[in-house]
Amino acid sequence: MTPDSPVMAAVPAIAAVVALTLIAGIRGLRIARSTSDFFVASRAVRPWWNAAAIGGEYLAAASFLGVAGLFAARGDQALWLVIGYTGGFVVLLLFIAAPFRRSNGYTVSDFAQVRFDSMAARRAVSVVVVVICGAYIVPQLHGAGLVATTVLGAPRWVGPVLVATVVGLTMASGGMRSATIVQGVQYLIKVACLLVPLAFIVGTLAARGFTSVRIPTLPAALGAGSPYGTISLLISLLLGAAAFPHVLLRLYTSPDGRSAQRTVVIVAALVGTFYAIPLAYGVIGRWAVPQVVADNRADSLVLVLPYFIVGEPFGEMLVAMVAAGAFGAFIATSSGLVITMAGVVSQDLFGSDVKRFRLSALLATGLALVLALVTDSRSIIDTVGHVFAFSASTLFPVLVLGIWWRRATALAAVSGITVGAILVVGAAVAYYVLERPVGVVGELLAHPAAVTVPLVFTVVVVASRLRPADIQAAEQFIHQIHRPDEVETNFAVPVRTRR
Amino acid sequence: MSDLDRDHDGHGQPRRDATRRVRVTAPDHAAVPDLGTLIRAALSGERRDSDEHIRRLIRSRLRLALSCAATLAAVLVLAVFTVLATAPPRSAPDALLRWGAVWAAVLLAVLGIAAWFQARSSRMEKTWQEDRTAGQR
Repeated sequence: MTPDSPVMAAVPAIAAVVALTLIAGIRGLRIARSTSDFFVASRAVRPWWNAAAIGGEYLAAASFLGVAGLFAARGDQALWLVIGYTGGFVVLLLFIAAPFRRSNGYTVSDFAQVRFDSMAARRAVSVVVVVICGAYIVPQLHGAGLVATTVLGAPRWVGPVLVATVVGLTMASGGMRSATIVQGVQYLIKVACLLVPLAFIVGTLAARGFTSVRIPTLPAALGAGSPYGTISLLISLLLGAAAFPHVLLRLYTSPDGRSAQRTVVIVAALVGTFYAIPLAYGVIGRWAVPQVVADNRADSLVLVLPYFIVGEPFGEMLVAMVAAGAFGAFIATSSGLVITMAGVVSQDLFGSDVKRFRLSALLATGLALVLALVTDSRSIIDTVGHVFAFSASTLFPVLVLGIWWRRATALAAVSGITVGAILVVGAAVAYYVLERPVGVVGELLAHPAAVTVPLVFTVVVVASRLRPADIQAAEQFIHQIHRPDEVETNFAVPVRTRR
Repeated sequence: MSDLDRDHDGHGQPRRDATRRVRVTAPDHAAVPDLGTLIRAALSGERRDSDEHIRRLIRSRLRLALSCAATLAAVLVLAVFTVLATAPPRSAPDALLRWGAVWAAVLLAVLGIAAWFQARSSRMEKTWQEDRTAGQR
């Protein structure tokens, strides 16, 4: 089910978002003066703007399109999804935010290298960061393809190519300064582009006395997931979100640990309140246009709902607005992921000068684009679910134990990351190869975090106990990152170690 | 590798002269010191004298974090139990009412825990700071 003809009003709306992004990116380029500007925006981003930027990059395709569709199609899973997405910031606040910021690195890999005094730990974290960002950016580009086909009637490749081009150019030119401005602006665009059409939808339904506008073809009944699946999903979302590398990288742009904490509290509020909007879309969509859900096109619900409910002449404009907001979501999230990947790739593969950083940004974008074009567009939610489980089973245990436990060793960290990565990737591959099995095996493969996360924690603890290392440097590092900001001295981590 | 401005050691304020384009400073590999050496140097000296003091702060903060995490877990378990133990909603408006209420309650709890932790953590640091200053006198 799509609008009868391409929504041409979406073309100028999307063009406006793209233009705004490029202008913001150029602004970032003009004020980017130093290495610190380029990597961490000189650590001078205030909490409210940083929170908006994190909100801009965090509320991705899954949040903008997937949550509403999931709520309409599969019921309570969407509820756990938004709870997990939001609650993850509390976990981040409790265990990671301030100490991580006080480590004064430029990338997550810097933290691993300094804490464990090990290049092996650094490289393991770098690989994980690239995998997470790469796997997470592909659904964003698939989402752009969905918008291109649903709204513009264009071939699927148009969306990914447009987003990748804008992101690649903006991030390669202006670095973190550009990303901060772009993402902060995109958060506001996203909220406005969902809220205004929703107001029209509710107003129209109210004027009609809340009657359904189409003869319903009833989708499957709303159901509840299994206790294991639900709890495992929550674990992967809560812990995976807390260790997402592009969110962690943004904490480095805060002036100090306390600002990082404040930023995370504000993000939790911004993200939490945002989710009321897609939930409303999902409920209204299931009730008013259930054919969309029954036709297995739930991901496009947000895009077509204004068209079907409001109708002419405003419906088309509102669809255009939602499409523009969706592109904003893809651009903001992809920007954060590209900048995170570029930082890691440039430092670990090519070297840390700006020319190579830019090359890395273009390379990361190009690689993601190729992956998006050659892979099948699975359900957005299913794809990101495994990415969260991967993050929760690799980075989260290593970060938490690295921050709080002085006996965690480099060997143990690498072992934990390896075990977690193999288990989650294995589960994801088996899940798709077996064509989404049901039952106990299906639950385990779809939601592996409840098994893998405790297992990885155990591996790190046992390995650290079996092969203990000198803890003096680790202890001093932990003391340093837990000190209040006021007693912080000139502790600074350079961009990369000498080989 | 050169720049029109200094790098300010990576911490300076950028000049707000946006009328001209400036090349961004590249970190010079040869000039970057070994991370471990730098950190060991930064961590040595006067910081060592308050090791036990900082351990107490870390333990207090960990207790606070764990108690907040336990509260969050309890809230989530309650929410899961509430939703899974009751019959699925009959219609979309019913779902909105029931799951919307669960969502609102969890969101309030999440924000409450976050605000509580931040306030307690700040107070804890302030007290630690005062104790430390008193100890140095």
